Amino acid sequence: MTEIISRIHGTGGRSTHELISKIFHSYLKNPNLSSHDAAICRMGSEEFLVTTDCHVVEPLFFPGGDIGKMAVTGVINDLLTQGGRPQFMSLGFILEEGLAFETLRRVLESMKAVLAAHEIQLLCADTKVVPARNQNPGLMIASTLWGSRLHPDRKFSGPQIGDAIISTSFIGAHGIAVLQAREQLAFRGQIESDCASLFPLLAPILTDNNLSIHFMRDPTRGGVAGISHEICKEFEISIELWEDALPLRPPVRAAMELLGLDVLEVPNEGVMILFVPPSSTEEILKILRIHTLGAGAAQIGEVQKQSGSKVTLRTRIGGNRKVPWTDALNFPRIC
Amino acid sequence: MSSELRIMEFCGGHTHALFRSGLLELLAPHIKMIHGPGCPVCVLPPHHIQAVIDLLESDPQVVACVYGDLLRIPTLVKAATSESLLAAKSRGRDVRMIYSPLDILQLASAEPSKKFVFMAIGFETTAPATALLVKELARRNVTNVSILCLHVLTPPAIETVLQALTAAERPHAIIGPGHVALVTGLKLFSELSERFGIPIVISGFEAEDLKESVELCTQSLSQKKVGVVNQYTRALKVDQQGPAQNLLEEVFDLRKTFEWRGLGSLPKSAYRLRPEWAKYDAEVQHSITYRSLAEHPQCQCGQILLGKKTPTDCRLFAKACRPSRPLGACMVSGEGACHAYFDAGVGVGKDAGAFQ
Repeated sequence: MTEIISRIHGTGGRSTHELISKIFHSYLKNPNLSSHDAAICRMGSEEFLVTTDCHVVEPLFFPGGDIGKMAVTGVINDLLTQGGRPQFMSLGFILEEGLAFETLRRVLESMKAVLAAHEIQLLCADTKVVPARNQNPGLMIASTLWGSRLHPDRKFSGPQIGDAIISTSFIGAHGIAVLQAREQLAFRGQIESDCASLFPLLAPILTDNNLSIHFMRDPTRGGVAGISHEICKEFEISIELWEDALPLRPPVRAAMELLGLDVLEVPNEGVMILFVPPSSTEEILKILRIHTLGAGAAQIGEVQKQSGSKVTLRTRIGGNRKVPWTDALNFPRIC
Repeated sequence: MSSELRIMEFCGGHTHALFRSGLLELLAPHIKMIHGPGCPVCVLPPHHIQAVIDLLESDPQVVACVYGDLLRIPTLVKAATSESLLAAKSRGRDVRMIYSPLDILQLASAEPSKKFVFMAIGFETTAPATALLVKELARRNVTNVSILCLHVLTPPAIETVLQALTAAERPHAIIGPGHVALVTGLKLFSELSERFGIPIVISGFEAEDLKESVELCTQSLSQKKVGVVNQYTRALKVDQQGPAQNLLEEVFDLRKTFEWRGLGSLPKSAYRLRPEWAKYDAEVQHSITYRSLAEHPQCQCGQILLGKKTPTDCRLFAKACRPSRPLGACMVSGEGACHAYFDAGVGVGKDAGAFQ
C-alpha cells in the first residue's frame, strides 16, 4: 500500500507523532533539534529561545479569535513553555487566490494588536499566492518567534514523580468554538475560543524565585490527552488525570456531552499545563486565579512512576480507565 | 462463589458510558456485560452508504447531509482502497455533517439549486426529528430536500438477538434504553420480557443510572421476577407512548423487511416514509437502488453485534482495524463495541500503539 498523507496526520495525535518520528526525523534529526514547542539556540555564550508554528483554521474568524490572533498568540505561548519573552518575529503568508483584501486586512489588524501589546518586533516576512482549495479562499500563516529568557536561571528539569499537574484555565472552549463556527451548529448561546497570549498570566510566576515549575506545555492540537502521552513517552513517567477536577465551563461541558466529544482530546489556545512540585502548587494556583486568564486554574492530576498504562483517568465514580492516544478524527456522534 | 451473571446492555450509548465512566471494572467479577446491537451506525449495512456515494457521483447537484459518525464507515467497494463518505468528500463531492435534521431547512433555502439528501439513521430516538423535518418540508413547501429513511426499531433487534443466542450465551437480564422507552412506552419491552422470561431494566445514561440498573437486574433475578423495571424515573414518569410516537405514526410506516448488519433481514424492523410523503422520499425521488457489497471477510462486526463474540475475538481488532483506519462499523462509531474496547485499551497490544 502506498502511504500518503491524510487528515489523520494533522490531528496532533499518534499519527502526527509517527509522521514526525518516522519520516521527518530520518532526514532532519540532529542533536540540537528540540522535541519541545520551543528550542534553545546557542551562539557563542549567547543563548536565546526560538519557536515556529504553522496556522491553518477554518473558518478564519471564530468567536473569540481569528487566524491572525492565533498565529501570534500561539507562538507566544510556545515560547513561554521554555520561559521565553517574545521579542522578534518572522512571518510567512500563503494566500489563496480570491481572498478578499478586506479579509486580509482584518487578519492583519488582529495580528498588529497582539504584536503591539507585547512589543514584538516583526523583522521579516514573505508572501506567496496559491490556487484556492475550495469556494472559500483563505490563508495560511507560518510564524517564528525569538526571545531571551524571562529569567536567566529559569530552566525546566522536566516533570518529576509526584508533581502536581495544573491546568491554568478552563479547557475545551477553543475546539468547540471552532467546531460550532465551522459546522454552524445551532446551539443557543455562543461558546468563545480561549485564544489568548498567556504571557501576562505566566510572566509573574516565571520571574518569581520562590516558585518552582518543572515543566510546561500548551495543550493545543491533540488536547490534554495528546500532550500527556507525548510527555509520558519522552520522560518515561505515567500521568493520572482526575475527571472531577477538570475545569470545564458549563456550556462547554454541555456541548461535549451533546456532541459526544472528549474534552481531553479537544484543542485549546489559551491554556498551559504546568508540572509543579507539591511545595509550589497552592501558591501558583492562588496567583493564577487572580488573573482573568487563570480563573479556572485547577490541579487536574499528578505525575506517577511509569506503569503499564501511561495516561489514566480517575473517573468521577471512582473507576480508573486508560486514556487513549487519539488516533482518529473526532466527529460529533449521533444521539 | 456466585455463578456468572450475564447482562446485556442493548444500547451503544450504554456501552460507551460503561467504559468511559470506569464502571465496568468496578462491577462484581461474576457480572458479565454483553454488548448489544444498539449502535445505529454499526447496524447499518454499507450498501446504503454506497448508494448515497453513487448518487453523489452521478449527480453533482446532490448534497448529502449526514450525522458525523457516518462519514467514516468504510464501504469497501474495492478491497484495496476503502471507500467512505469522507473519501467522497475529499474528492470534492458535497457531503455535509449536520447535527440536527432541521438545520437542513436553512441549507436548502440558502442553496435552492442543490438537491439535499438527508441520510436519516438511528433508532426511535432520532426518528421523531426526521418526522418533524418531513412535516416542516411540507409546511414550507420545500422542494429540494429528500430523506433516505433508514430508521430502525429497537424491539425487533432485541427479539432477534435473544433468538439467535444459545442458552449458554443468552443474557439473564437486559438493560434497555431509557430514551427509546420515552418514545415508545414500556409495553413493547414488557411483552419481550414476558415472552423470553428475562427481566428488562429501562435505564438512564449516567454512570449512576447504569450502576443502579445493574443492581435492579440482580434484584429481579434473585427474586426470580420477570417484567420491566423503570430505573429512568426522572424522565420516564408514566408508562405511556410519548407524543413523539404519534408523530412517527403520522410520517412513517414499517418496511416489510430491512437488512441489519449482523442480524440479517428482519421483518417490520425499520421505518420508511408513508406513501403520502413520497415527494420527500429519496428512494423514490432519486430512484435509489442498493447493490450488495461484501464486507471485509474477517470482520466480526456481525457476531459482535449479536453478542456472540467480543471485539478481542476478531483477528483484525487493534491490528489491521483501528479507529484511524476502521475496517468495520463497530470500530467507527464511538458507541461501537470495538471502538469502546480500543479506547479502553482492552486487548490492545503494544504494537497498536494506542497507549504506546
